[in-house]
Amino acid sequence: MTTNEHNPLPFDGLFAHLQARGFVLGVDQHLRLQLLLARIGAEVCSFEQVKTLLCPLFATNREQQREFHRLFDQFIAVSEPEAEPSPAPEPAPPARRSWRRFRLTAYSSAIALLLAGTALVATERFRLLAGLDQLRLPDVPEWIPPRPIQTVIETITLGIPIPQEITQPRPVPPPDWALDHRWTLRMLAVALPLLAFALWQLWRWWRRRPAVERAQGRRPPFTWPIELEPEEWRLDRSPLYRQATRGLRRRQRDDFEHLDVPRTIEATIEARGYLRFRYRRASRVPEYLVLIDRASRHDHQARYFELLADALERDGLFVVRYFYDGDPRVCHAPPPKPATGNRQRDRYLTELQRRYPGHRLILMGSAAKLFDPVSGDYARWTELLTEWEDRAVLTPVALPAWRRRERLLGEAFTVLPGTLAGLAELAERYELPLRDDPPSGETADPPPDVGYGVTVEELKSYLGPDAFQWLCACAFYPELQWDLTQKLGRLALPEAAGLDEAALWRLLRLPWFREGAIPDEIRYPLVRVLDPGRRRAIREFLIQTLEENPADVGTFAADERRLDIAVQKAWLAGDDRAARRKALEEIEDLPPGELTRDYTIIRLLDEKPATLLALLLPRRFRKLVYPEGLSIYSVRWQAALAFALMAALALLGGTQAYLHYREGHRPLPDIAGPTPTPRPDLSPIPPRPSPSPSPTQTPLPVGRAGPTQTVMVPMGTPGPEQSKPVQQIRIEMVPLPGGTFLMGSVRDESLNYDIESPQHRVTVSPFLIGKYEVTQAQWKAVMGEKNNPSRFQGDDLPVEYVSWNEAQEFCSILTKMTGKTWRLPTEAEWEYAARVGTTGQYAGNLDAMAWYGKNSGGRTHPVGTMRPNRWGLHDIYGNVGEWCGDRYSRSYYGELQKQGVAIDPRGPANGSVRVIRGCGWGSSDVDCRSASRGSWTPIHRDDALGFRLVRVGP
Amino acid sequence: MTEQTQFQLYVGDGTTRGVAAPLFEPLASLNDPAGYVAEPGLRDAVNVALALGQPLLLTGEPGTGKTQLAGSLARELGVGTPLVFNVKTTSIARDLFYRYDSLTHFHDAQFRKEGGIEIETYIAYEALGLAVMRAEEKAETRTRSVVLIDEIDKAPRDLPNDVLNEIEAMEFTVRETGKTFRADPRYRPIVVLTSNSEKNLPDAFLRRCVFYHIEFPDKDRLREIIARRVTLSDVFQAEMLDPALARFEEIRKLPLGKLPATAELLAWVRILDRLGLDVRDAGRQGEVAASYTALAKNDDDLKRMRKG
Repeated sequence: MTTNEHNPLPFDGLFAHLQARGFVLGVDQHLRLQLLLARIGAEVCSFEQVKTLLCPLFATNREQQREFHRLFDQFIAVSEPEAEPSPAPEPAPPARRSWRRFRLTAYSSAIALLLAGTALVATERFRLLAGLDQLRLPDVPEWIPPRPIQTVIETITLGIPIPQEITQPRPVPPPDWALDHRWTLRMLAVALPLLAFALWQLWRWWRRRPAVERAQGRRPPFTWPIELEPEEWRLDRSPLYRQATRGLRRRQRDDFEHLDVPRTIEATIEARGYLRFRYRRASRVPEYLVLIDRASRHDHQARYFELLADALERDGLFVVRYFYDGDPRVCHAPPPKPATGNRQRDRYLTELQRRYPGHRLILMGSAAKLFDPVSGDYARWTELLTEWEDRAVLTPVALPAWRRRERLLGEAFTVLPGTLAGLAELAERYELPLRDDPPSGETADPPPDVGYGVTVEELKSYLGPDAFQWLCACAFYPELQWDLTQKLGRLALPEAAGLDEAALWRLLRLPWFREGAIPDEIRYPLVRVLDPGRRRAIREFLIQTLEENPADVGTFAADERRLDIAVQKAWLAGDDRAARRKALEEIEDLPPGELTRDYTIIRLLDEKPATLLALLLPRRFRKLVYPEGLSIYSVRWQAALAFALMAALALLGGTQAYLHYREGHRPLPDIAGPTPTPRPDLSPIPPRPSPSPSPTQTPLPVGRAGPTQTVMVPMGTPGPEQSKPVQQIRIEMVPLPGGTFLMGSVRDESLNYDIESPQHRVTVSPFLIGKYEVTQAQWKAVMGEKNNPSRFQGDDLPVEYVSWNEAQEFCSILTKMTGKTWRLPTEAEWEYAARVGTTGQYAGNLDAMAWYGKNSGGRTHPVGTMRPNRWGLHDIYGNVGEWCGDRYSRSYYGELQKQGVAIDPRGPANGSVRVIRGCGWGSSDVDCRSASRGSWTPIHRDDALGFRLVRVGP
Repeated sequence: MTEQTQFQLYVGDGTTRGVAAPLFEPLASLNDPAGYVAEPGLRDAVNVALALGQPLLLTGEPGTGKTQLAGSLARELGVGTPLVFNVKTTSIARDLFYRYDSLTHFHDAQFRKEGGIEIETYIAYEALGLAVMRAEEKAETRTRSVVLIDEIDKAPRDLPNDVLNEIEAMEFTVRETGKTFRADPRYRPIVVLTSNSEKNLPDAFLRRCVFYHIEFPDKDRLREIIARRVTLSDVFQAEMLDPALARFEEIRKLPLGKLPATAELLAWVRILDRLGLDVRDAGRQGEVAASYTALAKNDDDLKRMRKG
């Protein structure tokens, strides 16, 4: 760079820089610069010297000098060709939306599963198909009263050769993957939600890490400046203001005197030559010491007064300004301004007194602290103020609200309203100090008491339409800042020229404008007053403004600002879900404790739940699930864990239900039994090796669950070493006549047993039923010596701890052994046998007939040790519960009832659980009624659950 | 510069110690322009003011050598000593150029009857007036001169604005005689204004000035200033000066009502040198504390310095 007058330095950029920072650059400066370059430009040899040469032209005080040096260095640094490479663009934020969507889906499906699972577990009903063929049945025979019956004793000789056909593997049901892997499925059901939870937690941690790191490294400040092009201060155009400045500029009498020569001479001549001195009081330009009451950083009244003082200063008045907060004994210096400013220090009032003794003192703002709070009189220290000769108070209190305090103030000060009219009046009073008529004033009402729930209507009537709109606009931002207030007001009243002074003052007298914030509860109704177009305009303006005013990275202020932007954006988004969600995500990243400012607004936003979950959750549970109860945040981890556990439970339930369903759809062994294959010789029976005890030949591995094992029945040819003595067992059967009876119970028989209703007529064909429950001896004889699952061991005891499947297995083996058809009773047959023609709760005296809760002593008892019922059946009540062959359905009775009379009903066609009738040794008397029904899954085992046999045919 | 003599301290017990009071060694050398060193920024600002023919307005803490600059400038330009006008709170614009002693005039007119009274006798020309007169075309030996208007911020508010035109045009009229003086532009007086920047000067005034704020010198510059301005014993120079400067910097960081400036530092260093005091010397901290009187300007500050 050369310094050549024909080739001036490229200073334009620097000038623009300077001007932006408040330097005054007039024609004068340019001329001086040119002149300077012409004269000494040739001797300049370094940038440093250019700087020190140029600086005196532009700077007019110390701050400007420093600023100039800084700007110049900056300018040179930027102009250097080898500028630093611009920082790499910030990495794009990770895509979060898809994750979020995923999460939402996961939640909803988990909930759906949860609901389904719960419903299933609660009722044990999982009917997929309902409805049987609507059978038109022929007329049913009438009820045949029972008659005494004699027992048919079936003697079965075991160890009979099993016909070749039976040793062939029975048709094995097609392998079912789900049933084969039930444990894997169950594990998965539990593990998956927990795994999902762990992953989600990990992902959340990963996503929140930057936010957390930021949060940990955060530092003050808590606020950041929002710089706006200041609105033009219009009040100085008012004639009142001009009148006031004229008055305030008038010279003031000084405290020393000059010899007034002309008058001295005149007086001397008059005194005939004797010297008579005449003096004249010197005058000086008045200087003002303005103390402004500032309650908060955003005290609008103080700002108004400050602007007033600025305007006066601009108009050439000498104004020294200090701020005080209520009590002027300590005064704070105004911030230094680069354009005009000397830096001032905070001062005690006494210091001010020493420094500015001849100034005219004007207290602008409330003088409440000048008075003793108890006595209401002047505080003692106020004597300090009386040191100033001219002292005035410009009070923000509206004239009609003046009370004793203002009257008292009037004794020591010139008290006037803080309006322009008051200022003009003050200027007059300096000239004519003795005037004491009440100040000409406005007639504004005092503001409503906003302390206790002021209503929107009250505000409206107090402020008037324009100022009210203004206020509404101010409510959009959580803080009231003067420049923002002006801009927002302008947006709310685009057509009006602005507020007139009276309206402005009505606004400023609201205490909110001193504190710098409108309470949230009134903000919301105020915001809604504006029409949507303006609302949108204001929000857009706020977002733009906030985005243009960055806060330092890593400060509390930066988060505060992000929150503000996010809130405005979310608000602006309205029903646009995507935009809204995007904005809310911003908020979500902030730690919940940060919601200091716009808490209520966020709550309001939260009224439209952000997620489906929030929509589903009752309000009172939200607090449990979300931090602060706000659905815009992610779910608490505790809640998420609970969800995961519940989902695991639900999935487990669902799996279980599914397995049962599959189970239910497996082909059942025919209830009528296989057609007995004709055997060449049924008797005599030569001793033959029994199928047991080789494990491979174990007919039914009783100890283990699952029908999958049941298919592994006798395979292979019995070896010679398995020979066993012939064993005979007796099975006593009672033939019952067919008949028609009322099945089920009336609704009022027991409060909780509506599964036993409605009562319906059922006709059963004749059949034989076991006189006793199947004993362990019988079981062992059929299933093998070592295959006794019972918990209470004893040959005479009924077999228990057998599942429905095993009972079926027992029947089919017995059928194959004997060639006769054995099966479990149908539910109808059982109840028919139990009722013996009765319709009451019990067919006989329960205590005499049954081993049940009251008398069993907590165990099973040998069969036949209690009295039988009238048909000679023992233990039909009590001892152990009995499996029936039917599937269970709660609504089955209703369906039967619709048919009129059901003939030999065999239970619903589908269902995953099986009927249990009768009651066990632990049951209560209620459960032992003839009509009681129970149900359980076919793999269920229980030490109070056995069965009884039925045989049909010859 | 001057012969080193052992400085005799007042003990305060009434005992006569010397034969006669030791001769006072004047501190005038403190203000000797020969030893003045202008920092580069100030030098450039002066050059700008010279090039543009505008007054140079200097601000800065008291004691940073604002006033001395005028002497240094006058000396360098070879115009002798600067013409000084000390502004007073009652000064008015006219006082910068001349004063009219109306009272003596009146007295003489009344009581001295011999012949006409030359009104010129009662007019005393002040710094700026003298400077203009010396530069007048009519003057026999036209010279440029350096005018120092010291502490302009002390003046009433009106003064700076009132003298604007006169300073710009370098002419004034004596109302009493009706005579107008105008400086030859080529012999334009060089005006240096100083201010303690306590009050704002009007913008119009500032615009017509070349401004420079003298920052408080850093340690190296202080050492340079000391080397130029005071003659110190070699021992002190070598060993005790640096700790003294360090202590001085510490003191300037204290919350004092008035910060000690270069002038105070020079005086203090001199005292330390004379007393042979090392500020680090633990045994003589009482004396060191006593020497702070050279730095402190009021009791509070003194206490703070002694404490801190």
